[in-house]
Amino acid sequence: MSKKVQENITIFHEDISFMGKVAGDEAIAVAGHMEGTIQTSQDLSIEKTGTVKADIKAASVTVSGALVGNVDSKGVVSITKTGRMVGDIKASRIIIQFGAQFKGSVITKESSAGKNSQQISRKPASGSKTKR
Amino acid sequence: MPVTTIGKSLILDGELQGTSGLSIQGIVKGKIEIDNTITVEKGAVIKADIKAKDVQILGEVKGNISASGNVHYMEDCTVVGNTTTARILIADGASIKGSVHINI
Repeated sequence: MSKKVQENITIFHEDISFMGKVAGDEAIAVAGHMEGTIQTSQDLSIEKTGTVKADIKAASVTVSGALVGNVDSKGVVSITKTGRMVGDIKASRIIIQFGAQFKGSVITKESSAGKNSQQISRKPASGSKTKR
Repeated sequence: MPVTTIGKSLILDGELQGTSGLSIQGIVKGKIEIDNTITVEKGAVIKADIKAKDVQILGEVKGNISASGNVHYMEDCTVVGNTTTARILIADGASIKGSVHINI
């Protein structure tokens, strides 16, 4: 199970509402109502019918419904044309589609992450490197 | 009607409500109120009071269970808490601690 396989997705359907804390390691889709905090190491998607009032930490976030809260992501945060969002976004990349509603501040941290990702070649650990 | 499945790596802490079916494989703490069927799958851990139409337990539940329809405690399930229901089935091998109240 070392491979990163997105085998599971938890879907909170339209007629489900949840208030509290969600944490886990799988993709989450919200079509219902949610309040609190959401944390996942995978992707989060707020569907068209979804209404979320929460602070979010996820690998990537797609907003097609309504979101009030702050988003912290290492990947892409995208607000689609049906999406409405109020809150601050911290992400490496961000997409806001034409027609989307958004109020908040944005911080992208592409600059430092982009340079590090250039180091593709893996050198053997033994050698001059003694630190770490 | 679609069934919402809480995946096995998810931990929910809070209040869960709704009218669609619910299947839980992960961990849920707090309170659950569903006007439909709840299935607590094998491996799932619930520390919450459950109120639903039908309840089916294969995993572990700590909390009171109240159902307007049927309650099924399947084999190898663990239930600690009081049960109120109209009809109940307890399978061989189920571990239960608590009172059972059947409304007639």
